[in-house]
Amino acid sequence: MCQSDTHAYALSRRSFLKTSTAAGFAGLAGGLSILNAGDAYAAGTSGYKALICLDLQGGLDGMDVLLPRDQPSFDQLAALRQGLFSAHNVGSGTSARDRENLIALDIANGSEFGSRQFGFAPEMAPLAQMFNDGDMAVIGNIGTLVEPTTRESMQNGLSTLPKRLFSHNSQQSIWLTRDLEGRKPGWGGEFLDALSGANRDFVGMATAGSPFLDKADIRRFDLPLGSFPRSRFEHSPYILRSGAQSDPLKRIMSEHMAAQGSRADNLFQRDLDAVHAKGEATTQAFIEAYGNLAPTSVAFPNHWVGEQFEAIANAISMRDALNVGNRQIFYTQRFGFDSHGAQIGYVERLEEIADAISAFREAMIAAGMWDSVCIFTTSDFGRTLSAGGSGTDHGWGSHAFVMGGSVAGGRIIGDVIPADKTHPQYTRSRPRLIPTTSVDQYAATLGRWFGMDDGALRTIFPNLGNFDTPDLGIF
Amino acid sequence: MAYTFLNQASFGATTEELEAAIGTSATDWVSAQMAIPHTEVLDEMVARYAARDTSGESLFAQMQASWWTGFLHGEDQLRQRAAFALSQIVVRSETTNEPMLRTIATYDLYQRHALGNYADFLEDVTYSVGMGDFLTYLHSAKENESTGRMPDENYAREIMQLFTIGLVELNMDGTPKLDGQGTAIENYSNEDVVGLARVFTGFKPHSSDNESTRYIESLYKPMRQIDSNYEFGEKTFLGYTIAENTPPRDNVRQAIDVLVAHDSFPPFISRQMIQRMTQSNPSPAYVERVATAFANGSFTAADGATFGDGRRGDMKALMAAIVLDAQFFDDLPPALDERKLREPILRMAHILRALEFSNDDPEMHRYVFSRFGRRDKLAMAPMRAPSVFNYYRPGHVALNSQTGAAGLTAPELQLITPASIRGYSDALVEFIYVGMGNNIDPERAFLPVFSRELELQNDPVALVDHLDSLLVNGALDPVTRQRIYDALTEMPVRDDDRYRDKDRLSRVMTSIWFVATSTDFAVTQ
Repeated sequence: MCQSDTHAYALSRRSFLKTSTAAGFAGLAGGLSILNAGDAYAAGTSGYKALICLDLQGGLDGMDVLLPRDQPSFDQLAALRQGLFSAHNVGSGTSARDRENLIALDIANGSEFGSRQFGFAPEMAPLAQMFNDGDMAVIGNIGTLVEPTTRESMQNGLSTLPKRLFSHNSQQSIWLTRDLEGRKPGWGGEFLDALSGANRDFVGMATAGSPFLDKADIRRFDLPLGSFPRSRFEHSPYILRSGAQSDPLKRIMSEHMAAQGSRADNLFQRDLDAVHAKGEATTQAFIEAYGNLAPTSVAFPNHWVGEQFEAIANAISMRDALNVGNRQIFYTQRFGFDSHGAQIGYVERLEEIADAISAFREAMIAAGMWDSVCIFTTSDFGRTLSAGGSGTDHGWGSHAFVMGGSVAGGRIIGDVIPADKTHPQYTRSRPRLIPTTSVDQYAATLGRWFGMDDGALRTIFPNLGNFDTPDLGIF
Repeated sequence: MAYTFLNQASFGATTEELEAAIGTSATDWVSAQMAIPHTEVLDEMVARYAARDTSGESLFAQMQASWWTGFLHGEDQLRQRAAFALSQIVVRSETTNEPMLRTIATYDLYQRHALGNYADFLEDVTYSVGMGDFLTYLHSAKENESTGRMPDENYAREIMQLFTIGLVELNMDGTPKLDGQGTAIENYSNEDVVGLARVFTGFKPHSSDNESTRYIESLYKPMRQIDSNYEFGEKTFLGYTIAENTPPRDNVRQAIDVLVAHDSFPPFISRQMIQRMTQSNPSPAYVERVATAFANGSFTAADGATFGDGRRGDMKALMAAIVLDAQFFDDLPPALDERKLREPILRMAHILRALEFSNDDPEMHRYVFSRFGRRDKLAMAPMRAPSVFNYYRPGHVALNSQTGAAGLTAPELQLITPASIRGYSDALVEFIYVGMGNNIDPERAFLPVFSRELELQNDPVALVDHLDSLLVNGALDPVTRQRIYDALTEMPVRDDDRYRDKDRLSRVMTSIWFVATSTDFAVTQ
């Protein structure tokens, strides 16, 4: 964080909790009473809670989601994004980026931003409503950081930087696992490992591949959209001819899919056998639980994001049947944000996300679960400030969005840096936002709500101590 | 040994091929393979596109069919393996609704250069409009101070990170070089990316003089570079400077030459090609032997046969070094970690090659193969990876696993989930039990025949012995073997003219299913 910063753009405070003293973090655990470390598990897991990671793959341009609404700020951004805004036909009156069409966000801490106003584009209408209802917070200028960093500290070599900035897979990995690929478990897995009970088969569920939830004996369950389809044998048993009605035959084939011998001489087969075994057991349990789901009247949109959120809503309804316990983390994603060109494609993608989350919220409210779930976005990085063409290149700082009944919403937590290349929170070349909120602070805040104790969080996020506030005050 | 060699160098061998191979020379086989000219499909696809003749199936389906026709029927098996491997390293994926001709043009490049030279391949790839579109440097232009526009960095980053040298400096054995603190050394900085991005400027689709063919030619012909968008200034990257006013084509060629000349290039590419061909976790010694051949552009087998023309990046030398490595010819069983976990396409192709199917009409392939890449089937299709990072990462070490605990890379484990295991079984069942294309044209359908196996179906031991040596090199687990016997007991042949033949066939199909879904089959033996 900029220390004695007398720049005209002095940054707003990141959290109303300001400088916590030794009195520290009491009262931050989302309403749960603080207990001794030894009781962290027992207390932390009273009442069900679920974190839902929505990973926006490719690098979400936060500056194209949280848009400036006051005329001077809007003009400032538009000047630097001529190619993109022209592709949007800004000025036509019907453009998704026309200033008049932006939906005003009613920001409870708006005074921190002076005369600046903000809005969401029309495609985000349901989420603008959610923000104004107090169920969403925006996390401003967040990204991977080792320690507070500015353009000056970078140029003087005073800050340690995250490894391999601007590289998709490396930054995705640092966001979700704190390190480059393959080095550490995902922090979702860390939380589950600390807080899950004995049955760990379904505590981490993912609708797409990611290492985010894997750690030790927590292995992500690949959540299907709908149920598992019937196997071809179940669909067409006649192909087994004289064996079609044979229960022993079914059993033998099922056992074969579940376990095939120890293969003492071959590690690859042993691992494959383990996936087979775990797979068969969990698949059957899931199919049965899914079959007993009560029908719902909530209509989820008919695209991949909608289907993923529907699957999550169903899975939450199935938690007792699957013996999940009180803590669960979901991972879901949408690709398509690596907008080197054709960034107007964001309109469609953001609309899908807004509609899907809106339906999800409706389902959770109907189930009385909206206060127990928290959706949070992640992304590789943000994007470059200037868009001379129809898109933007890889950036660094971006905005994240947190939604749920427990979120103290209607606020922008953190900084929104003005669209000004000379601002010291941009890199000199390109320019790219340098984050002022770290992923570690974000994850630790989510973890604390989830029931993690402070000591455990500092172990999982060793860089947390480099920042003023270990808790962003989201809840 | 014949089994191992043929299954590593091709998509799988029939019993006849395995028997015929015994006593012959593997180097002769490789030499003969390398003499077979390659096939390109673009002209035919362009003609079909122009004539609006897609015969009821999309160009996408036709392209998938081209791959599978090559896998299953190509005489040039080694080239097909190499092309498929290249398509997983220099990834160009059809993931959006964009003109399929661009994708098909890239397919031809894999075929053309799979046994050619890697630098030539990269040059053609760089000029392909498919790659320009996929990695977004089509239309990338030199810096414009007033709008703030800068050259697109996407291709510059990925050509280094994924297509040539990788993230960190490597020894010839594929292990990372370490600095004084024991940390890996980054190959490039962001400045290098910015400098290299200046090389890939000015690209535009081909623009024919002939107005009536201009659009279609723009979809598949190599890109041009226009002076007004091209960066004529100096470009500096990786300690090398391309002089100002270097013509565009020379500048691309120089950049590629710099990347290919880099010390990390041979081991970085070699290790991944080995992973696609023979071992998921190659030993450093093996990587070094292969990388050396790739760097020298030449490989000499133990019997004196030589491969490659001596130019760095020679693919013949690379492929020969991989499949003719001495370790595969010493009659010793592979060690604990010297295996390859085969991706679903390799496993399926093996079944389809090793066993007898009828009416294998390439025209029918369009109907057959385009559906099998879906998530609920093989979950993998050529040129349909979710991103330029392919279906799995070469450095993937599975958490909470035995391979992971031993520090082995097992990329293919990334793709294997309970859902994918079910999908693979279902895809197999479609071929083994049901056949494909019956409802389109029964006369030309792709149907299981399994005549050799039918002869043995009444003798479970003989049947399983046969499948064991054909498909898993004699390594079938005794537990699986017993399960097949038990299953066959539950599937008697009914003494009724209406049922007898199909009951027999179903016993064979079921036995095949057990072996094809066994972990013994999934891993090289």
